[in-house]
Amino acid sequence: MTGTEPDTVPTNEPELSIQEYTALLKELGQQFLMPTWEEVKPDWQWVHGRMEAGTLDPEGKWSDRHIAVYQGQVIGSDTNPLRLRLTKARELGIHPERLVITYLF
Amino acid sequence: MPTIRLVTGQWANPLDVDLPAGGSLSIPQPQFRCLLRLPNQVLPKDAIIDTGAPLTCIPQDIWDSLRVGVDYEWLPFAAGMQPPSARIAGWQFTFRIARFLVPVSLLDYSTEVERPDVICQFADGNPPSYAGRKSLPPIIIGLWGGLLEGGKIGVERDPSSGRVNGELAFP
Repeated sequence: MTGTEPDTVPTNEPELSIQEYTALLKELGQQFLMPTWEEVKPDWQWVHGRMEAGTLDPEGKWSDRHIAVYQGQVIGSDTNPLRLRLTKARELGIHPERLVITYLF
Repeated sequence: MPTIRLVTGQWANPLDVDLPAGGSLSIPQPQFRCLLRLPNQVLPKDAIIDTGAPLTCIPQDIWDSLRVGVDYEWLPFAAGMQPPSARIAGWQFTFRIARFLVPVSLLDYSTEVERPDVICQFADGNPPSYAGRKSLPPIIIGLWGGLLEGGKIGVERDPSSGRVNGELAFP
């Protein structure tokens, strides 16, 4: 895990519908090349490796949340994975599918 | 035999208990995950394998981008049947049944296994996700419907670490 506290997406924003988030993600994705599995796989391996080692979230601060992982770092968390993907992809200027989003119990 | 290595995550922190004869035992709370590649999606999603769940459940935020008639078809409940509800992680929801028209893949980092004719629950809607409420749920891979059937789940415990390892093998 990184030493920096990842940003949490503010949850006081109005919640969009699933269809609205999906449309916005599609629109954002059209601005970038679709990432390949080979590009995204290292981040899945990173997060899965830490899940298995029990070092991803030992204090449970992301329990019941989705986290976003990019380049071997947790860069944010949110209860809504679509909002998390959209917000973080916009911030980073990347294709939304480049982010690994996974759920922690 | 293609074999998917399952990722062992922890559902929660270990449970520390005292042994009557002295000493203590740290009990992990393991959970198996794997990656699932859905139609019309280049990149996989992660999913939790739950052999206590009768069916595979896909939340709407994931299935909403799939194409009806191309990726899946609805299997409507028979006339007169009351649409049932289900419950995951405190979230009670209604659902519809869908059948994939193209294979769904289970994969790890070196192996991908295509599963044809997969039938699963597509959850209707999602709960609100304001702070303090439950998150939108992840994909749950249940027993019936074509993803696990025909496969063998192997579960082993490392005697020294107590760690559980799992794999899913298909003939």
